[in-house]
Amino acid sequence: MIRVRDLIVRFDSVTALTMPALDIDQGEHVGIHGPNGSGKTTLMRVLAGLQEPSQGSVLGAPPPGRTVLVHQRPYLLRGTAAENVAYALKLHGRSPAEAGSWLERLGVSHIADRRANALSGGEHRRVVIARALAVEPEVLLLDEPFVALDEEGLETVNAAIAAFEGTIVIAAPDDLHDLDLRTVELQGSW
Amino acid sequence: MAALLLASLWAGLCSGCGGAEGSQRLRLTTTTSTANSGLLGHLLSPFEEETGIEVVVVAVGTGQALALGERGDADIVLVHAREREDAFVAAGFGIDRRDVMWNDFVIVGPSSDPAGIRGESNPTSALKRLHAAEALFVSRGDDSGTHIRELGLWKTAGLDPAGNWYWKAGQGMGRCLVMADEKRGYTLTDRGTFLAFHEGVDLEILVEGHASMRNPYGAIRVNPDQHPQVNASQALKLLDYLTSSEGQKRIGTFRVDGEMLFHPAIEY
Amino acid sequence: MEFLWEGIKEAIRLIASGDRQVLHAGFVSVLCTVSALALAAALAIPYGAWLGLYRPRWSNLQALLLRVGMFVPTVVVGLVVYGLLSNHGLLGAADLLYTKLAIIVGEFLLAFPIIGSLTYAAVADLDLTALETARTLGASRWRAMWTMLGQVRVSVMTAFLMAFARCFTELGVAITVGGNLEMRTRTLASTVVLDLSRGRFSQAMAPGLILILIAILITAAALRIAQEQKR
Repeated sequence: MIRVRDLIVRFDSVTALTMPALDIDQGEHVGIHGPNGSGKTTLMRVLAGLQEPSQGSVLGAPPPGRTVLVHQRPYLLRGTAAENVAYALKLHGRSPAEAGSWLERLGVSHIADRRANALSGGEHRRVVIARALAVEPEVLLLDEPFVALDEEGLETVNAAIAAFEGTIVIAAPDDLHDLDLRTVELQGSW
Repeated sequence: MAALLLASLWAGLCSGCGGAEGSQRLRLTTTTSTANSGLLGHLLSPFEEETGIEVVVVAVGTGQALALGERGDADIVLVHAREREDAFVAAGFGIDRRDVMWNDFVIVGPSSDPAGIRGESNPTSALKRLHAAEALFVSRGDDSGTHIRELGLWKTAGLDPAGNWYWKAGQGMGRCLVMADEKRGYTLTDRGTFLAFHEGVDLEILVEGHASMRNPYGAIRVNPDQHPQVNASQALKLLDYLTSSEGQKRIGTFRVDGEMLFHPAIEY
Repeated sequence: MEFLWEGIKEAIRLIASGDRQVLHAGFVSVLCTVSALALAAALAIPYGAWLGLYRPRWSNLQALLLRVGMFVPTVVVGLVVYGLLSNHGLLGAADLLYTKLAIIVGEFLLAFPIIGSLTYAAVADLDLTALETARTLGASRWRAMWTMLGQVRVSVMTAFLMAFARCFTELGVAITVGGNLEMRTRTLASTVVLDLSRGRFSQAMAPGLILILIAILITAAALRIAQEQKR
């Protein structure tokens, strides 16, 4: 479905990413593996439609809203955890009342009414993932999603990923935590 | 270290500004129309050269000019509002009031003169016509000398002007002229300000010359008994100069567009 | 400083007796400032936000112009509007000089750069991730912009209050294009100037104090509304 060809992304004089070819089929779970600076985040942002390629093409990726990126250091809007999920739901014409069930799936329904700036690192990340899932996107892009998660957190996130019915692309610098993924290696650093 | 240097430089600059040095500066308050006419530069420069006294002219509304005198923030006052001048002296704020000069008021308006007052010799008749026609009239509305004269003229005409056509502007003479020009209306103005402004506005003198339009100026020294810090001796020098033959002659030689604006009060 | 005490007494007397002149001046001040602000906010907030978030072409230049615009003296703005509305000006035929509408136009020009540049600065300070989050979740460029404004609403409110302060107290526009006409275009601030020119110093304080009082009330109300929203 998604076809990347001859992709190069440059920032000023620095080449951040080169990817000659990458194919991702609908419903595939793909892992992007590589050291820091190899361009994982850049690739994710290109797939998300947030970064223009300097050269090359990306075809078949659904537009933002159908493709959702969870940033490496994600941003929660001012407000409660539930309000954040509700924001995503309202963007797609769904009832904000569903927010609770999405938070439940990530095991954070107990903090639904806590303000975003009062969440711990793990809670923060799980709320962000719940918010992304609530959109029910075709393609879910997760940029290093396992940071700051404890064991329980990891379990719930893994379960949510496994249950996700669309295409998933996960970027991580090291071991992709026993997920059933096809891995793609990125070389070098810039 | 640099901060200290900067601070002392700043302090040095600040001390240079402001702070009346008492001895060689004389504070004269007068009205904006007097200042706008350009007379004061012409009149005061011989005095300043001869005596070495710097006259600082503060031009504000009539009321404020007198109020500054009351507070001792001026050494000498030059205004054109006889009743208020007399009250000023009677209350002990001023001493030694003397006639200095007079100019005159004129009624100006658009050349089309919709109310038909052109050539009226008596201003009260003109005002009656304006009132009847409800022609737009811009009043100073600020208790200035001009305003007081205007109100006096309405009173003589037996009229109490009010309504959409009568605008109380609360501004200086120049601005009122501009307003009258913009709105094609009438106003009472001193001749001096009108001459200074007339190139910028499309108005004409329609009524002039009547005795009731004479505008006498008085100069008053601020009473040193009330405010010991005023510059009494130099104020006296200035007042003597203004009423001397030299000063009076100087007033008479001031011209705007070839016209004599101010008439000396004393015939030497 | 007996002005202050006398002024307070006079202010109370004026309000209690329902002095028509002062009430009308207050009305003119509030009407003109609120109208100008509403218009300026409606245009400057989205403009400043778009400029700061999407950086279209020439956005740096526009941001610079907005900042410079904050520093134009009120009399200069008054002069410019006067030039436009005067008989000899482009809009002379509209016969708008010496009306409240003319004051509103001038105060709009005062408020617009303040609200615009401060909104711009507020959203430009946001992490790029914030905007991208809204976009990636499916918000349109427009919707994402409003979401970002919500994230900086305290700064936007501050911008609003600063513009309010400038317009409510200004003289250069009110006098030059309004004409300071009694019971028509005289504002509280221009009443102070008039009383001052008449030498009535204590009386001059009163409209000034009333102006401050109204400003406090409006500011408090605005902050209250902001607090409710903030929760």
